[in-house]
Amino acid sequence: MKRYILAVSIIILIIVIFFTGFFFKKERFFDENIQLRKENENLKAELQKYQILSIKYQEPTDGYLTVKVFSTYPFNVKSQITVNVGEAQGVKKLMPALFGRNILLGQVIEVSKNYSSIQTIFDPGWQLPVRIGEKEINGLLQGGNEPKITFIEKDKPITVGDAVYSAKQGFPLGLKVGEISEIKESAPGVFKEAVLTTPFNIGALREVEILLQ
Amino acid sequence: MKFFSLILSVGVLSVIQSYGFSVFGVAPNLALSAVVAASFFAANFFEGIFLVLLASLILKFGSGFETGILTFALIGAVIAIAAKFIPWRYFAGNLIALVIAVLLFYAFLNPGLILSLVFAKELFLDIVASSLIFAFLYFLWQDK
Repeated sequence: MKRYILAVSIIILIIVIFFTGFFFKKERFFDENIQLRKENENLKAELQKYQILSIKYQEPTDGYLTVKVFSTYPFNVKSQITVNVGEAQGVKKLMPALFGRNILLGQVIEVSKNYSSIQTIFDPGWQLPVRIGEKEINGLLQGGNEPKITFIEKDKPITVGDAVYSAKQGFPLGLKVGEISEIKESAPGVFKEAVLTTPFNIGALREVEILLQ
Repeated sequence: MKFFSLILSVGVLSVIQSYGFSVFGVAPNLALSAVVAASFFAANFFEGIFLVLLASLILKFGSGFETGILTFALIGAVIAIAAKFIPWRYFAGNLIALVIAVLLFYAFLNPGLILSLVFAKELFLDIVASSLIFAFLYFLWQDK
């Protein structure tokens, strides 16, 4: 008898899990520290962007959509996150996703009716033209578990702590991506590399902003 | 009663995982650890599969079909069945089954991460979690 009940329960669970839209909504406790850190990093990014005299920051004219982040599974994979908005809320493919309003986090790559997937800068397939520091040195952000900036000309001076900004066409110019944490002068050829640190911990994200362009 | 304690262990740890529990930024796969440990105490593989599906239901994050959840359910089901045939002493069997499960999990979902430090850290935390759950269940039911 017990086995029959188990078998029926198993069938019901399989149907619910794989053939219906049911899921438990997980509203997490919002960590105040994360919120404060977000505000702090955004203010810092805003200050840094005004230090770059020749980049006139493009203030987006359209609005931002603050969205909730689903927990990614498995959790330690940082390359993609899913958020609780989709076509119905006006989200479209390729829209930039931000941490706060000044820090670039990724880009929408898949949109369903009520949720969307965002490719983050931790995706090994992510590449982004960037500018480094006040001297606006060119580089190419190469995503990955430890994002790095490649193709920096060896004779260009960069230092640890320099801010890195998006210079990709289609994104607002001057969105901060992170800061240089290590410089690898020994890279072969005429270019050097630098390791990037981001001002956010992707596993701790509960909310992100999508720029509705 | 024994089955209820397995449901409780798997359920509680899956809920903790689904709320984003992490240790120094690394999130252990508590649900998989609990499912693997509980598989060794389930009376038959029907119970094991029920526990896997229970964890899958709790972990399901969105309304669509999720390959991560399908992978989790398949690996959990394989472990639930294999646990009945593993010839080694139970504790060692639990550790080996867990390592295989975590390896398979990453091999299906993101093989590139297997050689990373994050994977090593998660595996370590998973082993600790699964050993604790196994020890708890073992001492609870050793003479029953």
